Amino acid sequence: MPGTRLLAFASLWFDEGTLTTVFEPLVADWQREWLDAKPSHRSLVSMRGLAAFLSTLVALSPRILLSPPPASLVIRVATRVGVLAFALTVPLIASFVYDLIHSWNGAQPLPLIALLNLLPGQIVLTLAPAMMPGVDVLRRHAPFSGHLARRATAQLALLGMLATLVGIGWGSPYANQQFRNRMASASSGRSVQLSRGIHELSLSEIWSSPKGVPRMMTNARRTQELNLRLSVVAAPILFVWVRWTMLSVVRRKWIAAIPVSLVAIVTAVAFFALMYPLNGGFGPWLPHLVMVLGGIATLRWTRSTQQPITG
Amino acid sequence: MSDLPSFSRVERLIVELLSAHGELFGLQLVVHSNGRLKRGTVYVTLGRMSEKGYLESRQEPLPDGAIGLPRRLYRPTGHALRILGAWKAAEHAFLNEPLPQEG
Repeated sequence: MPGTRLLAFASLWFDEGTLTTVFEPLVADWQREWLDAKPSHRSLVSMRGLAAFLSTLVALSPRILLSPPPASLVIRVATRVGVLAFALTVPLIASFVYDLIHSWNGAQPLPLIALLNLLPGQIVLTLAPAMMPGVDVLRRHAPFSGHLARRATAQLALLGMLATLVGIGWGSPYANQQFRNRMASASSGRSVQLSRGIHELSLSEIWSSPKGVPRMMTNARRTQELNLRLSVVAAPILFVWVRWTMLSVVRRKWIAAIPVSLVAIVTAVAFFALMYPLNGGFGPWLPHLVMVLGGIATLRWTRSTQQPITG
Repeated sequence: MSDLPSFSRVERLIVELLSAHGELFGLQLVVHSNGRLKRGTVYVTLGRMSEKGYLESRQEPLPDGAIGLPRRLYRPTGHALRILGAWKAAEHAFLNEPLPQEG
């Protein structure tokens, strides 16, 4: 019967009242129309019903996106995400700073304050895996029923994606350029304004490719940089979904003993280790593909062998 | 004095159709509206009107052996009909009121 699976999908996101008063009547009318239609017209009825269902989902999507979880829960999630993002960022920066300090022979002392400009570029990379403990907090918050936890997790993923978009699109390129200028100035002993490389261009500049941006930006280089940045923007959604999927599996004791932060670190290392060597063309999307396939396989295995924990 | 409750254009159309035709399913409302109601949004509107107390609904009884979900039949509440009547009376009074004389 048409609509049955879509109704199950809606039940994952909406409360009982919305299901009863909006989605069930829609699907019931759709099914009756489908049953009454001639077999040759049924595909048309199916398409009309599907369009109506999707329109209704869109009309009700603000209910999902604009219903914030309790403030205390938001603080707990933000704390977990912030702590892990910091824990992942520090070693990334530390190795770079260590090399810089030991190789520095500029005219002036190393401007340590300039190192703060490295933070945005690293945080946008660590934010995605750092969101995994946030999913744990939301999923295990007892008063939350399935659809509320799912909504809050979707909001977390969306916020992470927007933050990464702003960070890698504008914040990190600006901070990179500030870092380069300060280091060049300190090295030469005079004020220097370097011309921007492709990593120092904002996403909108690369996207629109206006006149005046570096001449070395060939179309292939532009596509490569866009792919890399957009794949990083998509990463928070992917990590959140993968963590949600992992929590759907009834965990055996030895897996349960592994802290989520370690799982996040291992996943992040594997993700970025796979992403950067494949920095050409659509290569940066390959880790996403691997993780999506892994997530789907996990879901299928979970459904075929055992019951999910909740939601 | 409390304000007269108001309908949106779509809400008023739904109440008018239901008062003219009696109980209707959501899809029948779309058909009777001659394109003024859209199938993708009418159920959201019906749900909201039920919450506001403008509509009552019941599930159609399904005969034995029938398949599919039972459909929902909607009818206007007395409250909604009174609001519709009041607005119609107000409109009628406004439209028939002589225009004020100039000068």
